[in-house]
Amino acid sequence: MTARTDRVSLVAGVLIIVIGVVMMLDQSSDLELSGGVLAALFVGVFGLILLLSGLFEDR
Amino acid sequence: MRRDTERGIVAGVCAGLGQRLGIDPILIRVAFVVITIATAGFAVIGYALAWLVIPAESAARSAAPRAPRTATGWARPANWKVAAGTGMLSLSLLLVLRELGIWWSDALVWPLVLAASGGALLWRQSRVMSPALDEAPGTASTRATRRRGNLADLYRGGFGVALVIGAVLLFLSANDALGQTRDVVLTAIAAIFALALILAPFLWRLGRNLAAERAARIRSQERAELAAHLHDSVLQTLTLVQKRAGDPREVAQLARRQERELRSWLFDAKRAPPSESLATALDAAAVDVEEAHGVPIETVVVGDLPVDERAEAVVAAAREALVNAAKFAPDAGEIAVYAELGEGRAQVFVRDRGPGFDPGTVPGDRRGVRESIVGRMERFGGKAEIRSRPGAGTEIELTMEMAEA
Repeated sequence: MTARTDRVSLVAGVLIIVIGVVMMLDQSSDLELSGGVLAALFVGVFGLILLLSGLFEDR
Repeated sequence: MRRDTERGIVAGVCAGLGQRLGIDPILIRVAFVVITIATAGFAVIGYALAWLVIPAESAARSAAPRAPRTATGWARPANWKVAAGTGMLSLSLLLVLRELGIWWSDALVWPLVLAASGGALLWRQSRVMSPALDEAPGTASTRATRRRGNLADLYRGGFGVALVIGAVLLFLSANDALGQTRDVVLTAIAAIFALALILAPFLWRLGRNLAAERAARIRSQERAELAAHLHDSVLQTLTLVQKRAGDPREVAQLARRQERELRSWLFDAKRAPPSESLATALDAAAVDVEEAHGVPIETVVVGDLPVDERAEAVVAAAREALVNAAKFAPDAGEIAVYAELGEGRAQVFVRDRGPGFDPGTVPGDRRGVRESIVGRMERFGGKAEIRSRPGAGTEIELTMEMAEA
């Protein structure tokens, strides 16, 4: 039996890591992000994961 | 990885992760609580994401024997995910524009998000309900699955329309454009609601009658397909067995071949098409009939097309025409097959120089020409023309519109 990569989980994982890195940089003051940008980032990532999950469910 | 909903407390994410990593889920839960406290609650968002993205173990198990994933229905949340995802991406884009100072009015936000979600839902519905998909050839059961899904899709498509209309009303209301027309809009909504209440039982009954009529038609088509297949295979073999009753070896060979074919047709759900090429499939059918009936067949094929269900119907009808020619004109010399395949159309001619017949005088119980050739072609959207006169041979022309290679 061959293991298949779940592409949605993979992309979701990468996106969450990116969010984590951005938050870490924001916390360490290397990056100055406003609440609005962070909210946009969260909502955008959440939406992208949902969209990919829905699109790939048919395949 | 799968969520373990049976042993989970909320959605089974920690239990599933513990199972995947081989760690006690309690340790994972403790770690999750610690991380949640450390991140001021942000880990909960991660949990929610995992809940959405990771499929549940019990759902994955129970989904296996159900309808294929192409089937549509309320249980499948793919369309809702696409709609919600599109709405959230729109919201994200609007927030970014707002941060960048490219902004008109806050009143735009929710109407645009709702419109994007509704548009995505409608787009998904239009894809599922596209005429090309609905009218594509297929077995009666696959057509039934599509149509059952379409009722749910139509209902869900209504949500998309409602979202878009809601977005427009919200936008107009936020800009005080509804103020002057509020009474008219309220009257219209009340009238529509009353009409819906009055008409609902009739529409419901009409829908049920239509569904029953469709089911009956599908059952009838399935019966016709079954009868045509049994005629072409079992009955033809029995005719051959009667003809060759004096040769026990050949009779046994015919019986074995028929048994294999029938078993494969009855029990092998994933039957592969006989060939990827319609030209090759026609050649193979001609060779098969030539060997079984011992009559010479000359095949000329121009062009080619891929094999789909329509092409399979053409091959089956051509094969039946060849078998008829071999049976009724065995001593009339060569049978000719000429096929033109291409430009989205398959046209096949089967000619023999036999005694010919008057198509109008064929008895009703002879199903070969009526069901296996004419009926089969018509069921798949094609047509069959029979040109024959007593003493002048027979020509059968099969025409099917189909997809280009």
